Amino acid sequence: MKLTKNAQATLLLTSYFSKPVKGAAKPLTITEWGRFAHWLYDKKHQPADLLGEEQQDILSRWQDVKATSARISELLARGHSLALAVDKWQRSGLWILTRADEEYPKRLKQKLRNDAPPVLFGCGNKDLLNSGGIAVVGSRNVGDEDLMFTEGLGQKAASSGIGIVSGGARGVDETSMLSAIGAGGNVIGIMADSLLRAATSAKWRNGLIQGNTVLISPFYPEAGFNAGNAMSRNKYIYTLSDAAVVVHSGTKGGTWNGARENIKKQWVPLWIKPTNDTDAGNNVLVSEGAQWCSGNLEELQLESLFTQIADASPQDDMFSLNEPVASSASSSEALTQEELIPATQTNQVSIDFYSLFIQQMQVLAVEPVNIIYITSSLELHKSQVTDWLKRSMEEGHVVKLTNPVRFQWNKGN
Amino acid sequence: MDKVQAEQLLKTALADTTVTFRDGQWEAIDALVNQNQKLLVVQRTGWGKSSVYFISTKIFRDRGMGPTIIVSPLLALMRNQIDSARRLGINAVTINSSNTEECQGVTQSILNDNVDCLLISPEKLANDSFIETVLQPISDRVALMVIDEAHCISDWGHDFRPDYRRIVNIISNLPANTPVLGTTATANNRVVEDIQTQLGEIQIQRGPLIRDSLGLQTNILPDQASRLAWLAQSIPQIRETGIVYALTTRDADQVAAWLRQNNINALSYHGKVTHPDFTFDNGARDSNAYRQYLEEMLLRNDLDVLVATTALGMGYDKPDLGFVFHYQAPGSIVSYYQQVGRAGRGIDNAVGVLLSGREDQDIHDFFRGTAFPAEYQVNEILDVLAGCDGLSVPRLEEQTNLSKGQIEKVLKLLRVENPAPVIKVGSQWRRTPVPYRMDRARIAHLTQQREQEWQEIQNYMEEPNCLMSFLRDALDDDDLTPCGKCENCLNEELISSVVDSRLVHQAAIFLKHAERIIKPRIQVASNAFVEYGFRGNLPEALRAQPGRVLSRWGDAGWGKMVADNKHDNHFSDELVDATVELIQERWQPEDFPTWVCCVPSLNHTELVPNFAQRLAARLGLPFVDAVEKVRVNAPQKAQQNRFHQCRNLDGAFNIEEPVPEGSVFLVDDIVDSGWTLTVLAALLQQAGSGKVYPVALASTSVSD
Repeated sequence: MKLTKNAQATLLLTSYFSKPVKGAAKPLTITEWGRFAHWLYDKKHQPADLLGEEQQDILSRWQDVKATSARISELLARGHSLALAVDKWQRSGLWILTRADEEYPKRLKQKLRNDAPPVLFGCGNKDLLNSGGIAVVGSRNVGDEDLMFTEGLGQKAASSGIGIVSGGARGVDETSMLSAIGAGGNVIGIMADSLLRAATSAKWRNGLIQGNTVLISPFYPEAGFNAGNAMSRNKYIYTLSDAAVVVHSGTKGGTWNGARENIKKQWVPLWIKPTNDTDAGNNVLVSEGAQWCSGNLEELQLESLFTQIADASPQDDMFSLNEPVASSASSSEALTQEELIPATQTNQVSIDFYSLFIQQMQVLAVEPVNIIYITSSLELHKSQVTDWLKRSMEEGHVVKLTNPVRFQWNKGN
Repeated sequence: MDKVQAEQLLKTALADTTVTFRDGQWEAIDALVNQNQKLLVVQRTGWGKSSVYFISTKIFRDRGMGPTIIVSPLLALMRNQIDSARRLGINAVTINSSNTEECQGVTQSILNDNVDCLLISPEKLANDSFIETVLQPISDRVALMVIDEAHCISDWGHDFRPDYRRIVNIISNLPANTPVLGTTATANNRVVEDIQTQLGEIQIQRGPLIRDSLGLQTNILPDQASRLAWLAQSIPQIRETGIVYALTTRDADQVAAWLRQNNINALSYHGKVTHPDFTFDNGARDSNAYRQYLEEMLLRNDLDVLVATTALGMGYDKPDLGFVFHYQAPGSIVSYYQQVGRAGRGIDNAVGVLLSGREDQDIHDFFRGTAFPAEYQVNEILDVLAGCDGLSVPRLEEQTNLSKGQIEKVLKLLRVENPAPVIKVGSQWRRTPVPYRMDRARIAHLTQQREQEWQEIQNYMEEPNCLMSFLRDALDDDDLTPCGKCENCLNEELISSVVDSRLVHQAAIFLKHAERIIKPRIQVASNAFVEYGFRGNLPEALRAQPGRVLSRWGDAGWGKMVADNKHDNHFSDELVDATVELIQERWQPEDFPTWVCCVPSLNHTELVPNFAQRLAARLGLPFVDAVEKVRVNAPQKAQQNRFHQCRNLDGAFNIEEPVPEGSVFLVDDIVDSGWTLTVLAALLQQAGSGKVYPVALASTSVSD
């Protein structure tokens, strides 16, 4: 698997290839890269152009206080470092995705925009990255009852055909993922550190080899634990999922901050498991806008978690569609919340599911997407989606692209 | 940087205002330093490729860039290159297994940017801890990567090495703004194309391959005795010193010993050669140091001839080498060209004679058949690794019934795959999440390729026209003017192929005296002898004495008769006589045994005892049936590693006491790992016997 020149240039500019060395140029941050990449695009250049004779010419026109031309040239000269590191990673079964790659998770691009990491390292089945699922998060150290709940949740998701998204850390993360893998379910893990080590660990191996697990990390795959990375990893867990369940949160730390960030950004519906632990932050999270879910797994209907309800008991099922909160668009989207899911605002007995579908497609299919992505995102049967797609194309809402077959919202419509 | 400036660097470095670049040298330098190109240079040895990379290095260093990394497959080559770098004022160093003591100092000077050029082996470049500690810290600044003997990259090359696959992965990941130089003297078009495909976007520069001073000849002499005789009578006819190539380490040792017996100053050179004077600080034999000494002996003409395997190969550069003889035929024309091409580089006349015998075919069959591990071995190792978080090789030996050599061969194959199903972390091998199936098609393709190459050598043996043209044609050199120096152009033999029959007779006797020492085993596998209670190193008093084995299974001396007789379930009196002669005339154990016993078998109850009884009678010693087999165990030859070889013997034998007090000959027919003899020697001495001297008829040990 050979990297494209664009991928090589992106990697040279944004990635570490070994432990940070004092005095060496630091790879560009996501923000710095975003700035530079935009400028390149404006100047009608691609990152690959930086690997040819034009490099000096291009950089002579770039001005930035932090991401200086000198720093960028130094980063670009790290060709041997890149080759050694990429060889090692690829041999160990890791792959590398940049934002330009087809397989790069669409949810990250859509929800995080410029904050989506320029490079993702990963191993396992890339196709799972767009399949969503329930994010399960919680502290590293939780009680047995919470762990049992987590384990049951993983198994239940697996048997319902719903994926688990989590962070691979000890405790809730790992338990939810391993129990889902054990039950044959799909799992997306977003690792904050040591991806390379995880890729060769016995615990993930079966899931990875059998194709129902994918582990990714935006960080140097050999990086050790780092609180900052662990914290910034949370946004990827939420944005890759369709709904999130907080099993247990403290009143500070990763789970706490991640959950509040999600409440603020409204990425996905956020559910909190009830707890007897008086030190827990669970209550506060609910008071800030999250909702209780049932602590009783048998009562918990997983599909209902995908829609957020403002004022309802956790036992309510998916047809209690009153007053949802937008769940799938960032604030930078031109669409307002009402436009996203308007049909559900009424309490009419009959809901026009097709128009709901059309409204969803406006967001889902801003960029071309395949049918599997649509079915999994909307939790619908393929036959239903095929039917509606056909109708929406006839009506001119959606256009069909070929090779491979994908569908896109018709902006001119 | 233009040509004049670069040439000035060369003149200054060599303090010689008359030197100029040879054809192609400047073009190559220009491509690297001015255009950051990836370049493959195909030029005959002696063309001066090192000037290209050393002058390029100088230019890059003057620009403030980091060192050049040169990947080179052989120690001999590295030493030569370090010397020629020094002549150009370039500080070149090497880190390899032979200089581990200096390693730390060298590493420090690399990290301090005091090194212009670092030479490493492909194995080093595939070594993760080396990459981590030495290469990664400087890799942000490395200016140029050079791959010497780049034909090794190609599956089609005659000398494909697994570690070169790793190099391909690294080179093909180098971005477009990073220059690379590959060099080779032996690559036909197919190899060049293959290298191009694997490395992508690489430019080719090609020069002519002729070697004017070399006269070629071929002789088919089927039996080893005739070829030994030919060598003994022909080598003294040539004034200069030379090299004799043999296919196996055992043959190299044997030929060297024969030549010495004929007053020719010969020593053998191969991957396992050692000498008691060359050791590491801990007392272990240092093969690299001894090989370096041998190379220098030949360079200084302190030897008449070095009898070598392919371990003395690429890059060994001695300008006044007068001859290269092949005792056995190499596997391909390219490797023949490369080996014979060492002769006559700096002198007007040299001769290359290819002898071929009847065993060559079998040896190459064996090489081809064992080039890749068996699929079941690969699967067994992957299965064991899949169940855990990593295992070391000794732990793998316990959990699989595979020899250390087999395990290492499997791991070596797997680790260079990309992506690879296993990676090494410290001393542990870990399973990656990469699904793996052995690529049977590729293996079949490579094996078929080797067969074709072998056929081409046969064609060379029978070529009626110019032999040099045949070689050049095979290497896709366009100029095929007859050389006028080979036996076919001259229409007469350069060296007579008629051998002295007296010498042939002596050589035949020499071959029958090809006994080897059976080295006593000392360290037992842990947890293997639960019943016998042996642990760690066997105490001195229980160890066997160094024994003797009469032949190698199936060899040209006695080995064929041993194999035939074993099949007929009776060892002939001739073998008894040969063993008696070995014991009485050549071995003469110090504490001469006073009785004889043997290794019992439940399958062939008579074969070995019958032989041992006749041997005892001829030696005038009593035969005592002291050893009893008390447990039916699996065949010892099915045990592939030390742990299983030891455990299979635990509790299998009983000594019938009392045993005589004196030293004893312990007789067996076939010796493989030697553990049966070791265990019985310990049990006999526990029961009160004197020293135990093992004797066997043939060895089947792979390491022979």
